[in-house]
Amino acid sequence: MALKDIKILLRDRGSLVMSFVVPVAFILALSLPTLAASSGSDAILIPLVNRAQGDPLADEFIAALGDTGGLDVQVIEAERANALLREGDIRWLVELPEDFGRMGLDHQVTVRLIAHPDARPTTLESIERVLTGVAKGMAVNHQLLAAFEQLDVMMDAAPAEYRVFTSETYIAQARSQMENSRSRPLVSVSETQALRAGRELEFGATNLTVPGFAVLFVFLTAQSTALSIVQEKRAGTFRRILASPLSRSSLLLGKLIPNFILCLLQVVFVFAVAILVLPLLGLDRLSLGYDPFALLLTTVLVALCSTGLGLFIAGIAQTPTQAGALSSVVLWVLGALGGAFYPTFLMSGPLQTISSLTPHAWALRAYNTLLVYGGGLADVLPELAILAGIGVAFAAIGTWRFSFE
Amino acid sequence: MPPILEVSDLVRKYGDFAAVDGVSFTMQEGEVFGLLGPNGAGKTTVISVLTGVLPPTSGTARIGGHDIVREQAAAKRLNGLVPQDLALYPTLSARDNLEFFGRIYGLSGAELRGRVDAMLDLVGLEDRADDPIERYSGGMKRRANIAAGLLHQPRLLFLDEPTVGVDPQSRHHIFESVRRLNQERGMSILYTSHYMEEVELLCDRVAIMDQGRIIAIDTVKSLVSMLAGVIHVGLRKADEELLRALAALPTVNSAVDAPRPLRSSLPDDEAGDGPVAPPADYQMVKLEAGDVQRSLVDVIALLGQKGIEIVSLQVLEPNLENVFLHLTGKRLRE
Ligand SMILES: Nc1ncnc2c1ncn2[C@@H]1O[C@H](COP(=O)(O)OP(=O)(O)OP(=O)(O)O)[C@@H](O)[C@H]1O
Ligand SMILES: [Mg+2]
Repeated sequence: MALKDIKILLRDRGSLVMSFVVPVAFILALSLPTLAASSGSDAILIPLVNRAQGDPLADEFIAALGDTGGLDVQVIEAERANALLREGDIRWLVELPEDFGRMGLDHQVTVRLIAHPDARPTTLESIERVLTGVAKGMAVNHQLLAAFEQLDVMMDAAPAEYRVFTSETYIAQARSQMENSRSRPLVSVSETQALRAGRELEFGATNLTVPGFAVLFVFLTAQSTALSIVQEKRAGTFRRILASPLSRSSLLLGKLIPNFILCLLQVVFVFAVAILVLPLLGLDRLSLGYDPFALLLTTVLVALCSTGLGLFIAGIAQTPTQAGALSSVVLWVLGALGGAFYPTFLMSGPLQTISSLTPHAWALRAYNTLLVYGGGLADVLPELAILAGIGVAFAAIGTWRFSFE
Repeated sequence: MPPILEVSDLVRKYGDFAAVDGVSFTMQEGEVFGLLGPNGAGKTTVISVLTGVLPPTSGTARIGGHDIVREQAAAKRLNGLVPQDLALYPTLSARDNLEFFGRIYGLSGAELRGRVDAMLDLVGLEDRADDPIERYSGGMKRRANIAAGLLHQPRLLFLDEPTVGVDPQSRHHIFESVRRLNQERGMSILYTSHYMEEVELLCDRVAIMDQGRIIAIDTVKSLVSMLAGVIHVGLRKADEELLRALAALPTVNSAVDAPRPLRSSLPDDEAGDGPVAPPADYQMVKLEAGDVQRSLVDVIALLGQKGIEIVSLQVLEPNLENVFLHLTGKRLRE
């Protein structure tokens, strides 16, 4: 069964091109612009949690950070931010404390820069420098204001005949505040490490984009899985097979195995191109992380999940046209939602929830953990379990809905 | 020996519509059995149920003593299916197709290769065995289609309209293959068709099917003998006395005056050898006879005795087509 389908597949140049050449074309088309952009000024993404929500000072601080030009500040919710950081989907996080707005002579506030262990130290250092710079600038302004307010209070409290302050008094006051801010800053930046074991990994944009497209296209292969089942069902050959003593489950399995193998080969091919060809074009070389077994297992589960999805579509669609239409829509939408084009951590809250319903999102999280953050098998077990679950669920519904008549 | 196939009150419905509506018949081992019926009669549906492609709605059937539902695997191993529609992978070669269909019956290795070669040889496709099926002619595709149902050497072969859309050469080849399979290997064959000539030529017994039911089942000969043959004789002179004398012949059932037949009023395949430019002054007599050949001898003898000149002679032998027309009031092919 399987061997025959592979032979049929090999005769079908069009689908081979679709399966292997198109993904690579996509990666190249989408990586080249990033290459051009990254050679220019590339803003560093700064996820920021604002615990002093609504405070004008906090807003001012955020605006000031954005104005520096080198940073792209994204305000996100605390819980999500921590989760992302824990998962390693982001590598650092800036947190403004609740009491940020109450910064003053008698109240020092601390802005925290929380770093993932895998964050590049050089990048962290520059972020910290920018944060400190902005904080200082703001604190000085703020301290001066505070000082003048103090003078006003003193003036109000003093008897009328003493309410004479010369310019010297102001300058003296300001100077002492400056000294003050240097020795005892109103805003300090503290750097903490998020709790997670990991290793530093050298990687470039390739490690983020390539798995995205590998996942997108492996799941697109679910379409050819579905089509090969539905088409065989419509062709007379299905009757012949049904008339043979071959059991119905081995019939389905025979249809699924070649597509499963095709999925595996797609990943291998895409990764191979990313390792061997991209460097020749001046792009980053794909790094395979530290845990080849976990990578293999992830790939196997992604392929299984795609095959299950194909069976699911075959169980629902009645005709090849339906299967084709259904799978194009479902697979591209799932791919987009699942973060194959656009990282999920940049999506809004509700969209992110929807995203986590797609197998793509879980597949990408596993690949990111392995390839971007240098995680190992233990780190991706939950993702793999969920992928397996989704795959089994798809396959079960597909088999249940599948009519042999 | 137990019958190779016993079908008993088989029903198969699509929704409320009974495509097969209580079919029963038995086939003996080594028999070539014809299932004759017009489009939509339910022939293919009968075969689908018997081969386990569709479950029956009710009724039972046994192949070689194995119930087709309860002992499906055993029943399936005994039969082979050659579907009505081409059932091959068009981009693969005949050899690849055959190897695949052999493999799903559990064949492998040298045995598989041997059988594939033997079948390619049987249907005469050895030369083109490695070309993709899509480059074959219609007749070659049909032949490959037949070969694919034979690899596991079934004892009972279902051939569903194997000659539809086939050129005379391939048709002849297919008939030859069917004969050889039956005679050399003793294979039992259930052959469906709406070409009565094929069934008359190949089959021992025939079931005539219409609207999901079998309306007649017997040997071709007995079915045909249900109907009388017709002899039209054109005579110089035919009076009442002559008609009485003709009707009195033991081999003639009736003799009546008939209007001169218009050639165009007869269907082509019934026309036979029509009268050749009959003179204007003659009379037509229509005779009905059970055994046309024998009555013809008697009729010609009688007319010779009486010195009456025969101007024209036309014989309409009964055939399955007429039997079908007689039974259903419909033609086999519209
Ligand atoms: N899948 C189906 N769903 C509904 N009705 C069907 C289905 N398959 C066949 N039929 C109907 O069942 C009846 C019998 O069809 P079947 O194919 O058995 O006829 P047949 O005798 O083989 O005709 P033909 O000589 O054209 O091959 C027809 O009326 C057909 O329309
Ligand atoms: Mg049919």
